[in-house]
Amino acid sequence: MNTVMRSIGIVMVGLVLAWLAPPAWVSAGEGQKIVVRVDGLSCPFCGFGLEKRLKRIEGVREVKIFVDKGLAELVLAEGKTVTEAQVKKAVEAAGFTPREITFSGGG
Amino acid sequence: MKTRIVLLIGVTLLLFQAAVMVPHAAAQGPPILTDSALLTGFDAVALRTFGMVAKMSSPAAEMSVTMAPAMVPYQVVVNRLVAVAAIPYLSKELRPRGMPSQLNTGLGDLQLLGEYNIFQRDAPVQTTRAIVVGGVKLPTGGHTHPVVPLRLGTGSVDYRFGTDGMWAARRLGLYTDLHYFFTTEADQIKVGEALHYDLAIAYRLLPVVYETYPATQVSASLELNGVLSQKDQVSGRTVEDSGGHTLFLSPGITLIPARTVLFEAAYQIPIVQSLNGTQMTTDWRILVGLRWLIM
Repeated sequence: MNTVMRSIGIVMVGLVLAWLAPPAWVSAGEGQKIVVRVDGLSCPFCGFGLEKRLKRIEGVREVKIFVDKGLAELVLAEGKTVTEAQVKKAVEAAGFTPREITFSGGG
Repeated sequence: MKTRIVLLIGVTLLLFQAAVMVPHAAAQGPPILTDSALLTGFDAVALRTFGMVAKMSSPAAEMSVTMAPAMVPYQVVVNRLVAVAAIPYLSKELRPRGMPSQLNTGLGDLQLLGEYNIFQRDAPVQTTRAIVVGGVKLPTGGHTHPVVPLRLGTGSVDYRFGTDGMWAARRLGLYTDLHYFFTTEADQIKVGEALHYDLAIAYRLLPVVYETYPATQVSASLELNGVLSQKDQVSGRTVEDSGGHTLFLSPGITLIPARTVLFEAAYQIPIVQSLNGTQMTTDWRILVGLRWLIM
C-alpha cells in the first residue's frame, strides 16, 4: 500500500514539475539560433517551400538552409519565442521530416 | 487510299498528343518528361510551360506539330494532394507530298489531374516517394476539322490512372512512372488505349557540393519514354494500321538560376517504333521549357 502511495506521489510531483517547466526551445535573445535537421532535402526546388514555411513562424528573423548537410538554421528576432513544435510543424508542412532540433544562444 | 493515310496520320498525332501532354506538372526539377512523385517544393501554385516541336513523316506526307501547354499545379492538401490543370496551344501543319500544306492552330483538350502521396520515407539528404495519379481529359479542343490530322482534340472524354515513384539522394535521382489511358469513342473514332511508361536518371552537375540555398543549379537527365498502344477503332471496326510500341531516348538539361525559376531542354530520339501496319513515324522532338513557382 505504501509503495503504491509513494508511486502516486512521485507521479504527481513529476506532473507538477513538467507543468512548471518552460516549453522546449524557448528563445528570447537577439540572434539566438535554432538548428533543425531536415530529412528528405534532395530535390532542386526543395529549399523554396521549406524556407517560406520556416520564415512564416512568428519571431523568425532569418532562415538559412544547408542543403548538403540537411540542416535548416533559424535566427530569431529579439524578444521572440519559438517552440520546437512550431519548427516541426513548419518542416512537415513543407513536405519533409524534422529530426533533431538544437538551440544555441546568440549575442 | 488517301483518306486512309490521312486517318492514320491523325491517329498517330492524337497518340503523340496524349503522350506529350502528360503534365509532369509539379515544379520540383528534373526529370523533364518522366513524372516526378515529389509533391513538395512549391507552397501553393506553380506554372509549367514549354514549347515542343515534333517532326513526323511517312512516304505520303510530312507533319510538324508545335505544342505550348500551360500546366498549373495547385497544392490542395499540404504534401498530400495536388490538383493539376493543363491545356495546350497547338499548331499543326500537314504537308502531303506534291500538294499544298494545311495549317490549324488553337487550344487542345483540357486535362485535370489529381496526384496523391501514398508513400514517403526521408533520410538525411535522401528521399523515397510514391504517388498515385488519376485524371480526366475533356474535349475542349476543336475536333470537327475535315482533315483528321489537323484536329486539335479527340472529342472524347478519356481517363488516366497511374503511379509515380522516385528516389533521390544528394546529386542523383531515379524516377519512374506507369500510367494507363482509358479512351472513349467520339465522332465514331475510338483511339486505342495506351500504357505509358517512363524511366529517368537525373544528376546534378553543379554545384558539386550544394552548401547554402539558393544556389544556381545545373542538372543533366537521361530518360526512356515509352508508349504501348492498342489499335484504334473507327465506326466499330479495328484500324489495322494503328497502335504499336514507341520508345524514345531523351537526354535533357535543366538550369535553376534563381529561387523560383527553372529552365529545361530535352531532345527526344526514337529508338523503337514498332508500329502496326503502315503509320507515320516520328523523326525527332525537341522541348524547351520553363517552370515557375508562383507562390
